[in-house]
Amino acid sequence: MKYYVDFITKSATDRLTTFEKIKMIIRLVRQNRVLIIESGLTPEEEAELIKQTMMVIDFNNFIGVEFFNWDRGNAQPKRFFKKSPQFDDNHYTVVAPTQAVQIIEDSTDLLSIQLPKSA
Amino acid sequence: MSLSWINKILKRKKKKDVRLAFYGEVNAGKTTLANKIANDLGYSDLGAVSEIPHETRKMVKLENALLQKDGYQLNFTLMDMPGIATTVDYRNFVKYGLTENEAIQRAKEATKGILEAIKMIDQVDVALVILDSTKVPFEQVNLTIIGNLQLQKIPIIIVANKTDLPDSRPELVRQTFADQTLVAISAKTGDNIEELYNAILNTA
Repeated sequence: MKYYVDFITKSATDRLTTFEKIKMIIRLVRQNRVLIIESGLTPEEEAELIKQTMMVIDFNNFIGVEFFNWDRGNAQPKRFFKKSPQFDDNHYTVVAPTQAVQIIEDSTDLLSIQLPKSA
Repeated sequence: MSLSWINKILKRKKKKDVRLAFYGEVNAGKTTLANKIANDLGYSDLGAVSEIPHETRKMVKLENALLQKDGYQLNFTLMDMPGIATTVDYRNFVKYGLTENEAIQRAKEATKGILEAIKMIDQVDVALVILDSTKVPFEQVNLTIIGNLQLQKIPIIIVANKTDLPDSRPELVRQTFADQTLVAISAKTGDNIEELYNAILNTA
């Protein structure tokens, strides 16, 4: 299986509603795209991503997504507080088909993902 | 932790009806805790507990429950939510001995349960976010749940569960969620459950 990495700029999603943004993300992820989204997702958008994902899981070709938030230029140790509801543009979100990724390390200052997931 | 004197004065005679929801990822011990609380209040178990993920696939309610402590009483509805996940793969259930048909049915019900749990977020008054303290606490699902509860301004109690297990690291949970009300417990053994009751009474 081939996977592609797409970088999506903030300007590409700014004009979209939450529903449209998540719909676009899921459409791309189902096409085996690993997305790196500039300015990331808000908590509401993350919830919408989970909701829409649950509605389109078909158990054979698509079993869900993995997503991770990442901040740039912020050395605070706790990723949670960097993505609190006081949302800012200074982070991005990685969204990938579940089959495509395996977390190698998820610590306070390193997120390491293996791609594609080994069988 | 004991109830502060001001809370006692303000709440001693007050009767509330609070919707208390249990959120968390799959197999964090939500139903084990819900059963423990139900049992402590004189009710039977609310739901079955299983090592197979997504055992709770529909919200289970305990209505008109009454928690009394230190002269304060709290009327509440306990809402045990399905565990939230971003992936549902029926093949994982087959590994536990389910037939393929049973596993697919379970997976379908699990996706509906996750939807229900997320849709209910703005319908609760107080949320207990139950974390498996043997795992890294900053799993994305936990962060998403907490982020959305905070947006709705719903009071949160973080519950670092499974402290009875040797790999439990409640201190890491505490470090990660340093600004939140947090209680480390074992829902299975009941260890520290009184502190959780105090936290609920203080928060609700």
